[in-house]
Amino acid sequence: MSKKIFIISILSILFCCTKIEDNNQLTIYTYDSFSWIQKSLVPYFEKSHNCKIKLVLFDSTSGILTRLKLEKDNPQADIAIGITPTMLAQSKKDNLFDKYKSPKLENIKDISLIFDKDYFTTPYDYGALAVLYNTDKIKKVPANFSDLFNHKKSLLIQDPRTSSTGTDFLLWTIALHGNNWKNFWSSFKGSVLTSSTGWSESFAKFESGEAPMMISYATDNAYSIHNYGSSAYNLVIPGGKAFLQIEGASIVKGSSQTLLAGKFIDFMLSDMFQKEIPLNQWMFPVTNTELPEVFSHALHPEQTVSIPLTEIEDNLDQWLIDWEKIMVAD
Amino acid sequence: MAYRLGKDYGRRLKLLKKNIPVLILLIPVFILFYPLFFRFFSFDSFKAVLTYRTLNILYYTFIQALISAIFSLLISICPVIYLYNKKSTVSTLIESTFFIPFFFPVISTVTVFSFITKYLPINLQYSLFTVIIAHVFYNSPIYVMYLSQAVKKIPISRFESASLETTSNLKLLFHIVIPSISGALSRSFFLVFLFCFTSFGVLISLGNIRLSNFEIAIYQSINTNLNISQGLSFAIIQFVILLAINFIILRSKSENLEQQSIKKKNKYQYSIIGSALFIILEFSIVFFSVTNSFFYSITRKANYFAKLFSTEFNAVFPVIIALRNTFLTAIVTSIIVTITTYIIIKNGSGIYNIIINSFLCISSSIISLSILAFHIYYSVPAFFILIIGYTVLAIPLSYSFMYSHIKGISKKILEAASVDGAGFLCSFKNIELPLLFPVLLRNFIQIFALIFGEFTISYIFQSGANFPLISTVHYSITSRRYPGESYALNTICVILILFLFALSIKLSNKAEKPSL
Repeated sequence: MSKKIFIISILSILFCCTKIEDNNQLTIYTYDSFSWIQKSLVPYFEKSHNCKIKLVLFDSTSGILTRLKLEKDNPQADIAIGITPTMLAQSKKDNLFDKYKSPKLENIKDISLIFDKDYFTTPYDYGALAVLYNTDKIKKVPANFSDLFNHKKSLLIQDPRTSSTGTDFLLWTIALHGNNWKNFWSSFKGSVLTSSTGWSESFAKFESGEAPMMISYATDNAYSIHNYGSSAYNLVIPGGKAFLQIEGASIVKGSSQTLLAGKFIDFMLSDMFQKEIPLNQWMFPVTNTELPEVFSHALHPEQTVSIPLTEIEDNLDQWLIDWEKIMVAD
Repeated sequence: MAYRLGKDYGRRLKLLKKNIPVLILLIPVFILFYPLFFRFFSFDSFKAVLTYRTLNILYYTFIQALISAIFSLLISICPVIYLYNKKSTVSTLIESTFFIPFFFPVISTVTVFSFITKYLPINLQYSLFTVIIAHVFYNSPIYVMYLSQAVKKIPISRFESASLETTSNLKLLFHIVIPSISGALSRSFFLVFLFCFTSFGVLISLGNIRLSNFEIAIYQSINTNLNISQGLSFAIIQFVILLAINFIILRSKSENLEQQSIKKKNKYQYSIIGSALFIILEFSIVFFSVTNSFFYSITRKANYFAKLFSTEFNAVFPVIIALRNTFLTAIVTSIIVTITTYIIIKNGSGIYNIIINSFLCISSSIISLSILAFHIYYSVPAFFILIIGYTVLAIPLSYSFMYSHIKGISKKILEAASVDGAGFLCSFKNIELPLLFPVLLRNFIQIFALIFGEFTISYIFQSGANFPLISTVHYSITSRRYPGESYALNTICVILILFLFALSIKLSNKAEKPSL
């Protein structure tokens, strides 16, 4: 008798653990700060397309890609949101995404924002890196990167080996200096106080007054003014040429909901979605959407520099090794 | 001939029977790691990482780990002497530091160290020295824990006979103390060395870029380069090196001695100064970490503690659900780990030492990725898979905590009970449990604290998706710029663990009293 109860219990547990597939469910992998779409945008899309959206939140974009790589033979997601050019370059090696050319791409205000000409990723927002500085401590604003050489041990950067912001900063300097980027870093490293695992760690050190400058985002001031009413800091893009951080959405290869996934990506380029981006994502929308007033405190990148995806794909590993060698050398 | 064959068969059967527990232990581990290694590991990647750069990483990792382990040992000597000689509030304070290596958040240590080094007259920011001090802060309680317990077990008769021969203190140390505690010394040295060797947050945040190690290389391979095979290759190299060190260090066998009941009255006055310094080092950082949130709340005139548990805040950051999940996972895992470890130690032989300690040498990033792959391929629910992952992580530590205590129970008593007709359950209930209760309780609390504060598995597993845990929710709060709430949650967690540790010490002391 007890044997029977044991077997029934095991079977019940297994049954409870079995996933029941929903035929009209769209599974989206994204990072946790994108959860704001659950408030109104997700319910709207669910209602208008008679479907159910399952939002799976990750702590980072690299977490999403690692998960997609592990699930490659049995994909669980339909869309991945938050794909940057660097991440796309890395993920192309594993063929994780399907091509999708959205009919709404024509809404995008600047064609250069469509960073993937193969349409594996559709851009939905962008921002730029900038140097955040303490106005009490930095009286003469560095006009370009070589001005930073005079500020010894004053800048907090993120480690490009562990942080996506750090990797983008390295790419920014490579885009600016081309083949001379190693010489630049040999001189520039004197200005770096230290590198952190990620942006949060750098900001904690910056706030505690450890260094007067850090690598951050061009919308930082707008965020501080909107949330805290003021900002003790200011921003500068040295040399005026910004490196854009563009984020996109991709359809996962092997998805069973490609049609619905395509519709969701189109929805991301709609006015309704795009106008929510500035105050929730603290990034710029990719379409011509009116910006909230507080964005007058953000730095608007006028001139930009970039690196072709294929170049990132072929060289990133070596660039990271070279960067490490430079920073380690006496 | 037939007799010889029968004898051989019997011997083989005995050998097989003896090794069945080893197989039982290894098969689940093999199943756990199989999906990841089978699908993603390639020998080409392994060959590609065998470079001068890897050698360089090994050199720096080894040097900093060795120096950190030696300094941690030096700073722990005075507290060990004090604990041996005196039972007071100071000794309770010293014992309370045992939670630090297994629970205290790296971010708190980094913030305090950054703050201190900034105001020092000499520039020590981002140097090897700062990393070593941070490692000493983190790991010296491990030595104190192991060595104080080992020293207490040295038979008084050994000291008495030495004093009759008017042996000098130095001779006493080298001829009596060190040989008697060699097992605990090697075990704790290996643990401290291992933690410093695999250090991640402290090294990146307080060291300079020169101080790279294998954990950083593994993290970079998996998260930045998305090259799992390369990450596995670095993990294999790290594993082999640590296993070799483990094998060399842990060859010395410890004596299974019983706790001594007579209090010693040696001279311990000099150890007070060292113990005071130890307490100041450990508790100033804990104190700063705990009070930081109160100051932050007062200066900003906001009650972040209340906000942390508000419905609005919990709709975005599920703090309450995460606390419940973490409690549940930590309690279940701690029970499983404590019972499993007891069974392993009880039935284990020398080979278990090597197998169990080899688990410690596995990079936690790889354990995390393996359980994630296992979860994906076999659709095991998050709650169960997290318990499996934490169990793999915690068993070696639990084994180290309890080994000498369980082995220290006199076999003669158990044999006598058996002769008197007592079964396993009877002798466990009446002999072993009363003797081991303080040890089992402490082990339970330590494993609970370890799991409560664990970050790597929760982070890589991305449990936030359907089973939020407190460490990942805390990370989200910090990274999404809610410093007040983040400090408040940190304070709550540290106070909670401190309370549990104090409780476990009190209960242990209470349980120890009748035997004295």
